[in-house]
Amino acid sequence: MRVLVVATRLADLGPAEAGAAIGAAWADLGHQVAVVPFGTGGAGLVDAVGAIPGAVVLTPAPGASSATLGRDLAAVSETGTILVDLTGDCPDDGGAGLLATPGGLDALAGRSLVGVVTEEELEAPFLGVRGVAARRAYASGTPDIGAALAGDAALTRLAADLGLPDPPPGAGAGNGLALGILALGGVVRTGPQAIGELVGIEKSLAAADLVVLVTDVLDFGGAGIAEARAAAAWAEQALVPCIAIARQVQISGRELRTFGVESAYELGDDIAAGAVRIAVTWNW
Amino acid sequence: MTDTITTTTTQGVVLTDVAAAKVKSLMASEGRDDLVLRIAVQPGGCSGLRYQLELDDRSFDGDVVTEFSGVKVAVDKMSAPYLSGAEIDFADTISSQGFTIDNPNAQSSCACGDSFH
Repeated sequence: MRVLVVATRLADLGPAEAGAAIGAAWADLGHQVAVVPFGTGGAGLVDAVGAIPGAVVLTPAPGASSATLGRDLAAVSETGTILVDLTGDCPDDGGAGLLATPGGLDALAGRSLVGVVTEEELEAPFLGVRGVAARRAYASGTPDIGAALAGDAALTRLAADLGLPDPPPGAGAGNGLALGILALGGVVRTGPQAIGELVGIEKSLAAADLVVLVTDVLDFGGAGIAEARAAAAWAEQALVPCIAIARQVQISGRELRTFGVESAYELGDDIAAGAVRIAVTWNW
Repeated sequence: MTDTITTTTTQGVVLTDVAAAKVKSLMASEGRDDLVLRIAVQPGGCSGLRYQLELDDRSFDGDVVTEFSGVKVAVDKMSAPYLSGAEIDFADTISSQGFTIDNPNAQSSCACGDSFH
């Protein structure tokens, strides 16, 4: 039996350690185990990618300009894959500061540049009624069509200046900073997609008999749900079951099954013993 | 004899006579005759998009302005594609009162009637 463990942080264990701790229960039963550190954004993404050689995560500082991100990118331009976390509060200049980095960003040529976005923003438009300026204007609480139109016109000019007059879906993610990533030849992906491409998840999935998600908390309020959806989608792709193991589980089995997780198990205080208890029930 | 053919366009927004009369009375109550009825689409609401209807004294580049019974209706260039063929009416019945928008571009709408997709 071959078990693919996709792991986020668990209690005080980092993703790779957590995956190894849980995976050991199946390994001790004589099965093959592969561990993939995993995260959708924020500190979880930084933790996960920190365990993957040849990749780095940059987190843009919030504010009016993405110039700082440009300097940070130039500093890590030797890294094979650079992920820019766009899931948080990003600068709202559409990447103008980034593209104006002194000395340019030619050193990024040949590197893999990935803007990491939430699942909800994967197709976010840059312009128009659902675009960055309109969302920003109307989120202010005092809707003003004039402000939305002026903002959209400015962003239209910016997109043309950056060589993307018809910005593709996803360019509006991260407050529009995704446009700058795309203008640099990068791509937009969710955290699981980016990590999947980094580790070559297709090959592991093709060999897997079971996908095990390891996460700290799984609840109906949202914690761990994006991770569970992504793990279940991978399992579905491989036509194998997906189970979840967490320190706390506060969501019903019925809800979990609606997005493809067969069962969720809560670990006791002893992680190793808890993992063994679960592994013997998913063992063939 | 010359035939006059009247056609009803569905390219822009349509304002019914009842709605036009209501808009005129609202403008009269404000002592203004230089306003336009502006209808816009904005992101938000539980179905993703919602309408914004207001009397406005501004004009923006790209506005589509159409006149109905002496009332000018303005649609901004961002909202225009979402409102092609939409009909603005005014209901004054025991069950409902207010402007209503029948939009053929709406694939679905929220039960509250405030937002559409």
